[in-house]
Parts: sequence; structure tokens; C-alpha cells
Amino acid sequence: MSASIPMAAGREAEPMIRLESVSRFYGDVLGVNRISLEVSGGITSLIGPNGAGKSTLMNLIAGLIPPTRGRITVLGVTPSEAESLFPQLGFCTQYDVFPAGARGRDWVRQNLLWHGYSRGDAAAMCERALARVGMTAAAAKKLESYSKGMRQRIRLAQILAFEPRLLILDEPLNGLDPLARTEMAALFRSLAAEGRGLLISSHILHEVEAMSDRVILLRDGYLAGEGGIGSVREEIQEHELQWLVRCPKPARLAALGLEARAENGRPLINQARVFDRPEPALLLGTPAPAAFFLALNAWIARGEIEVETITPADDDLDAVYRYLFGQEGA
Amino acid sequence: MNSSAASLTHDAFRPQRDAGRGFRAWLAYEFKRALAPRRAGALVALALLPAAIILLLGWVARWHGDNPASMLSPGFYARLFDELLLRTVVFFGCAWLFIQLVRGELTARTLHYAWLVPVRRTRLGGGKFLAGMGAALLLFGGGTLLSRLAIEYMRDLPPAGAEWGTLGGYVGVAALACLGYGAVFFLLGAGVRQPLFPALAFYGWEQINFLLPPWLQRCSIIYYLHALHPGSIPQHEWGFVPPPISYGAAIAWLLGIGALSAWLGVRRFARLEISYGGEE
Repeated sequence: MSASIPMAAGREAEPMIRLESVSRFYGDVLGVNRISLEVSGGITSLIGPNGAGKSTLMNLIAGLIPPTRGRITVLGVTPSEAESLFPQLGFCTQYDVFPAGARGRDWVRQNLLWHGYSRGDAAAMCERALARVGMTAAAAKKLESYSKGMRQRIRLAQILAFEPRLLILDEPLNGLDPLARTEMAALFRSLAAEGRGLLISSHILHEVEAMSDRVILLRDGYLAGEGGIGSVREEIQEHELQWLVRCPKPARLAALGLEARAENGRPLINQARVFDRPEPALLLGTPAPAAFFLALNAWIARGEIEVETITPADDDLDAVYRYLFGQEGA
Repeated sequence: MNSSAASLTHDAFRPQRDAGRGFRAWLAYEFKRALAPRRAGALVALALLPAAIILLLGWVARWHGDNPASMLSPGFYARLFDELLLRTVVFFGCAWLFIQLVRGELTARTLHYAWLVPVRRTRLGGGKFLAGMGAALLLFGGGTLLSRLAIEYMRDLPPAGAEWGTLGGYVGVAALACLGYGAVFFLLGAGVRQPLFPALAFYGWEQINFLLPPWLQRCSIIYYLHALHPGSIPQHEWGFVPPPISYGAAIAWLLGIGALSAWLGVRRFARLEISYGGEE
């Protein structure tokens, strides 16, 4: 029996995701409230500070939780229709866990077997996906031994393997080093170029603005705004954000950043604070994140510095919202 | 990372899905998972406990120069089967095995992987229960078989004729116990956040069954298992005499209780939300 993809030809023009006045409450606690939106192909970023309701919204779209109110349609079907939806929908959740003892390759292949592929097909599809995320060499290792970035990649391989039309990725850049972030962003763009839809969440607007076609802004469970990335990009670039960079030589990185200039002549770093404990790190502020990360990649490539992790230190998007919308929230 | 690789959608490589194959893969995965060494080690030890006790008692008797057959009588085995195998090994073994099928995944935060595969959730739940039943039958049916063979070995009486029928009867009752207890614990695992206390209350209910009035004795699993017991177990000096019931009715009740509990468990499982707590 061959499973069919239940997409009628006429539905191609329909949005991939449609939410109609969707609300979700956890008892008395608001998850999201009265969200109505449509998401089509390309890369759409779901942005909001921690607790804004991004993961709740993604879990609702994928059917991991049901809405308290409202209606959700994904790729023409409701999320409860697993046999129709999940051959076409891949979801990397926020849950960074795997079954104990599993190995990378086996876990990717296991998911394909659950999808109903033969062992031979599953093996071939698994290898293609592993190659695409650069995990072929590490795929034989146990998942417990993986770094955060490797776990992100193997989870991405797991959903890429069955070639979904729509990918939902919850904080996929979280924990990745700058080079891996760049590679991942390039991969997302190539997936979108193939005609797939991507819904990517982040609590950092700058992180996804370079690759997104469209942004959806959430705050306190409400839709704070949505639109094309072009309309907000220039304004975003004026807003300064802070980043924490863990590296063996933070003072060296600070010196490089303070000396370097963006194309408009502004410094790449205008705030720098070096920490020695608990581990060497640099807290920096940059008014030109895109130019800073470009330069950072070049320094790493030339061996001038080594970077272990880079994480946003400014989790508070309220400032950005005020900046973008001129008000506290929706 | 190879972002410039060819599109994943490749005309020459378009494998076919088969929903039935996906379900069978799920069943096989769950069966292997139920018997994974880190999970099933204690269950295997529990299943082998009766056989080990019988062998130990037999060897001790021989060491003292006694005939093990006098100690390891059919009556001894009948009591051992009731008190150790049914009430302890199968009960607690099924409690651990079937509660872990669902609750274990929620604790480990891995249930969402199942929710994202193209198999209906009721089928996923049914598959989980069937895999648990397969593992329970293998462990505790096998444990019963080994314990029975161990006693025949110690008594130097190889099974023959009617003995095979008795052996089959014990294994059959153990299998029905797996179904009855397994289904109840599957329902508890899917429906209750803290199944330990309900499980202990259920244990107490099964233990005091003989003290209950006849109509309440019917509201248990052990009552029907006792009715099917191939050996003779002594009646308690106090308490109520269990009401009579035919073999056929006892089997039908056990199958009915098992099917109803499993069905409710599958329904509850299918409605579970992925909310592991603390992630929002």
C-alpha cells in the first residue's frame, strides 16, 4: 500500500499554515490568544522574547497540543490527521532529548522506518540527509556524546530525510557557533529555494532577519505584528544588541572588534566587557550585527581567534518592539 | 554542511511509503525498547526468580540428603504459582513494564517523536500495548514455563501426558494475568500522572480479595485467575468463599477486562498532550 500525499492541485496556492482565532490556555495561564495568521512558502520567522508563546504556537501547528479555541489547518488538513500531515511536515521541537542509547544514524533511519519506508530506502535517504547537514562522519556515535550543535543538526537530518514540504524549526540556531549558524542559514535558504516552507522561531530578531522573507512577532501570547522583513530590517539594524561570546582570548576579540569598521564607517563593537571567570568570555554590544558576524567568521577562518559559543545576552525584545511599533505591545 | 547539495526531491529517487510497514516498524521498535537491557534487566531477574527459588530449594534438599520431590510437591508449586508468580512476579513485572510504556516516555521527554510520525495515535497506542504484551508474555510466560520445568527437573519426573496439560494451564493462566494486569497498568500509565499510588492500592485490593463479599470479589483480576488455577490452592480460614464461576466465564471476563482497559488506555494515550512541564 502506497501512502498518498493528500494535496489537491488547486491547494498549492493556499497558505501552508492557516490559524483562525486560535487560543491556547494552560489552566488559567495564557499560552497564545486569538492568533489569526497565514503562512505561505519561503522562510517565515516567528520572533518573540522567551515566554511569548512561540513554542506553544509551533506545538499547536504540529498538533502536539490541541487549541483551546480556534481552527488550525496545515497543508490543507488539520493537525490531528497524522497519516496525511506528517509525511509532509517536519518539526524540530524545542525538546533537546533523544531516547537513551540511540546513535545518530540509527535514530534518523528509525524515523524513516516509522514513516513506512523500506529498510533499503530508509538507509539511502538517511545518508543523503546526514550528508546534507554534515553529520555523516559523526552519525555512528551515540547521541548522548553529541554537542548542542550536533544535536541540532541530527534533529534537522531526521526531518530532512523524508523530504517534508513544510519544516517547523524551534530555535534551530540555539547553541550553534558562528560558523555553524552561517552554514545553517545557508541550508535554510537552499531548502526554501527548493519550494519548501520554513517556519523558524527565535527570540533574537537579528538572528533570523538576514534569511527571513517574513516575520511574525509574538509578545505575551498575542500577535504583535507581522510583515515582510524588508520593512523592518533597516530599523532593526539601528538597534543595538548584546552578545556573550565564550572564547579563550576575549581581550583579543574585543580589540579586533573595536578596531574594525562597518561599511558605513561605524565600529563593529561599541561596548566590550571581558570576563575571566567562570570561563573566559566577552560581553559585547554591536550596532551592526550582520557586519560583525561576517567579520567574526573571517577572524575565525584566518585563525586569529577561536570561539566556543556565542549567545545573545539581550533576551529582552521589548526594546525592539517599542522601537518597531512605538508601543509596549499589541 | 552541504547547502549546495542537490535538492532532496530527486526524480530518480522517490521511494514509496507503506503505512502498514510503518506500523510494523513501530511495533518492532516498541518491543525492542520494552526488552532493552537497561530497562528489562530487573524484569528478567524477576521472571527467573520462581525457577531460581525452586532450583535452590531442590539443591538444598539434596545437599541435606532429602528427596526434593517431597518438598516440591504439586501443592507447593500451586501455592508458589499463586503467591509468588501471579501476585508478585506478574503483578509487579506488568506494573513496571506497562506503566513505563507511556509514563516512561513522558518522563524521558521523548513522546513527541511518536506524535510526529504518520501513524494514527490510536494505532501508536495499540502498538505500544501489543508490544508490551509480547514482552510480558515472553518474560512471564517464559518464567512460568521455566519454573514448571525446574520443578519437574528437581522431582526427576519429566513431564508426560497430563503433566503437559497442567504445564500449559499454568502458562495460559500466566498469559491471562499478563493481559489483565498489563491492560490495567497500561491504562494507569496513560491516564494518571503519578501511577504509583493507584498501583499500590490495586495491589492491596487484589491481596484482600478473599476478605471481600462475593459480589466484590468479582471486581478483581485475581478472582478469575484463581478460578482458572490448574492446581489446588488452600482456602483461607477466614474470609468469604469465592463464588463459583466456570472456566469459560472466567476466561471471557479476563479477556473482557483486558480489552476494555486496553481500549481505554489507548484512547487516553491518543489524547495525551505534549506538555512535559517546565519548558515554557
